[in-house]
Amino acid sequence: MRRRQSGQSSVEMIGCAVLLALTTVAVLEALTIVRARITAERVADQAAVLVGEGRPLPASLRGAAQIERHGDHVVVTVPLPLRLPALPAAAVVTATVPP
Amino acid sequence: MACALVLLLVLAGFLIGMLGGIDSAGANAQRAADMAALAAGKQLSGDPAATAADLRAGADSAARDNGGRVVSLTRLTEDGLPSGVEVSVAVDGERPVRASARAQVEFTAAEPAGSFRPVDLHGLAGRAAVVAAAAAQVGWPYVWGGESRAEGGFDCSGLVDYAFTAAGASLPGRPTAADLWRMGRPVAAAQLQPGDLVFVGTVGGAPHHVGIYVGDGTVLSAPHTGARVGYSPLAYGGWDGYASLLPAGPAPVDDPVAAAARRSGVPGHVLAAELRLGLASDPEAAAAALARAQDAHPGSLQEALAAQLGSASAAALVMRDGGGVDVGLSGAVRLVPVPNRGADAERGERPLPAVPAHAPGGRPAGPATGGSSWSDDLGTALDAGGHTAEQLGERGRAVPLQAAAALQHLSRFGLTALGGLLPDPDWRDAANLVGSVWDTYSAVRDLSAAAAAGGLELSGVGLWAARFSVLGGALSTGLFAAQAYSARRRRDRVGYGLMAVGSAATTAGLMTAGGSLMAMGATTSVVPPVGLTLIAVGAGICVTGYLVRHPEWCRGAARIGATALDVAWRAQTAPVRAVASVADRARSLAGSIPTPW
Repeated sequence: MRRRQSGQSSVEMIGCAVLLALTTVAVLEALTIVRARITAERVADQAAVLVGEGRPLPASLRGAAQIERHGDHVVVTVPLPLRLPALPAAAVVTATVPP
Repeated sequence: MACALVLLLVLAGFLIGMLGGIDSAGANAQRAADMAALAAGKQLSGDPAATAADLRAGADSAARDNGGRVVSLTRLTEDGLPSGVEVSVAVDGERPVRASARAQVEFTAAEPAGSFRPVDLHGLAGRAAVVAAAAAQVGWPYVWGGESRAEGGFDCSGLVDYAFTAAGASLPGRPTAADLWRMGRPVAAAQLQPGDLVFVGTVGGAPHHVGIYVGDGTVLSAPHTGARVGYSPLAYGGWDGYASLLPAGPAPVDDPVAAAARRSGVPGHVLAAELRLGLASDPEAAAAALARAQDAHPGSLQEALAAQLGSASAAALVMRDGGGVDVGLSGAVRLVPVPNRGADAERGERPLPAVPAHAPGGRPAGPATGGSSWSDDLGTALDAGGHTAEQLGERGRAVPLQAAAALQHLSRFGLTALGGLLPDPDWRDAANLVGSVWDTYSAVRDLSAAAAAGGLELSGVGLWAARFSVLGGALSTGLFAAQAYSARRRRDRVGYGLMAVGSAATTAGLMTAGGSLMAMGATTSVVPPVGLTLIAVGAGICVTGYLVRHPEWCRGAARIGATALDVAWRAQTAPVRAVASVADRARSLAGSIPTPW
């Protein structure tokens, strides 16, 4: 009876640990996605302003994200480090700069 | 324990997901406002006369391209001259958000290459045009044979040739002084009219020097090597021959601006432009100031104007106004922070519905919350560091230093930290009580400052403080409610219950700011007066809760108050009692003096 209770506790412990680990990973992934989105928004804003003012983009800005210019559009891409199925591979923000 | 951790993580994940799921309307709005301001600023830089309605079309297009719409556009002026635009943009959607941006335009004028100073001769013709074109060249150095800007100056006949050509009366070839004498129709000195020519050396039939009579007994000429184009009296130049290349007709009217320019030896066209643009009202004073600036900057009229007017941008606009469309005008457009609304109102600019982001006294507009919501102050402290980093970063826009604001928030954070870390529960409650009193006072002060303006605008540190206050307030409400439920003493139940109610009211007050409060990209959010009232009442209820839990503090406070009142009363009445005492002593002394009768 006592051994049976001990086994039951071990199973519960392992189950809780797995659940905790999965939840932690999910939360971290959500945090990463939100962080990438915010970074992309900020970089896009700064890059669009600098391009609009006719100034060069500083290296620090290029280091934070991938910045491409297609005509009047500034496309900022921040890739996500962990690629999971059904989740976006990168946060992409596009800004349109006035000519 | 593990289940609690899982629940906590799920809650955190939900919160993060909610924040991430909220559309980035705030960031879009700010970007749309930035781009709209840039578009309008660029248009203004090419056409300083463009009206707000003209600029709005371009701004609208830029805002639309970035998912927003222009709500308002203001053409900014400085000393009456265009200096930039301020645009307010809204992004409609599930969470409508507004944002503002301001573009500043610094104008630069460029005279056409290889040409002398262009002058706007619109409305002038004949003699008046010749005189105006010549008068605009005052200050150029004498260069023998000079007839182009590349040569860096004029000689005497080159000045005449240029003035006639600019006035639309081109002379054949490149005449010398002798050629001009031969081409001209001799006139008597007494019959000279502005635009006629005066010569030196006509006795031999081949004069070697020529000047232009500009009226009022004055001649304009490029005199000799080492000198500059300037005015001299007709009587003292050794002029011995006079001729006219222009048909006889009525003399042009000599206006006071041209006369002032002659007396001070400055180009008349820019002096007239300064007066037209409202940068000066007294021609004589303006001419004298420009003359001083020209002496300090002999090589460049634009630099001299910039020194006189204190602004390179204003100088460029004067050059353009005086020189006409031949003077190229361009502008550097830079986004600058939207300034404090209070300062705008003082300058008479368009009033905005929101109150300053920083209340008077430099305190950031962060809302007050219940004393136990530690996360708001932690967030504020972290955000203060973020702001400093942003300021130091290559943003391209100045961010006002919020060190003082951060210091205040850190002080409040320190109280909260004491409230959580002190070993004695009573000490912790005392620290939290002081924090709640602080919050009540702050909320009431914000309410009185913001009531008339329709709400309290949060931005920067204040906005982040509010965001964390919402989360911290919700957490505090739950914790206080749980403590009230599990408390054994009646007064603890009532005290914790009041604190739970206070925290809930505070959180509800913050939530009245709407979706922009939690939209991650939003840069501003407005808490309406009703929200501020809820915050003030909630913080007050928290204070009451702490006092209910500690009635001994009320008794102590009452004792201290009574003692203070007693001391104050004694101090106030001390002079009266001292006078009465002295009077009693005097009376007693007088009574003790023996009398001879």
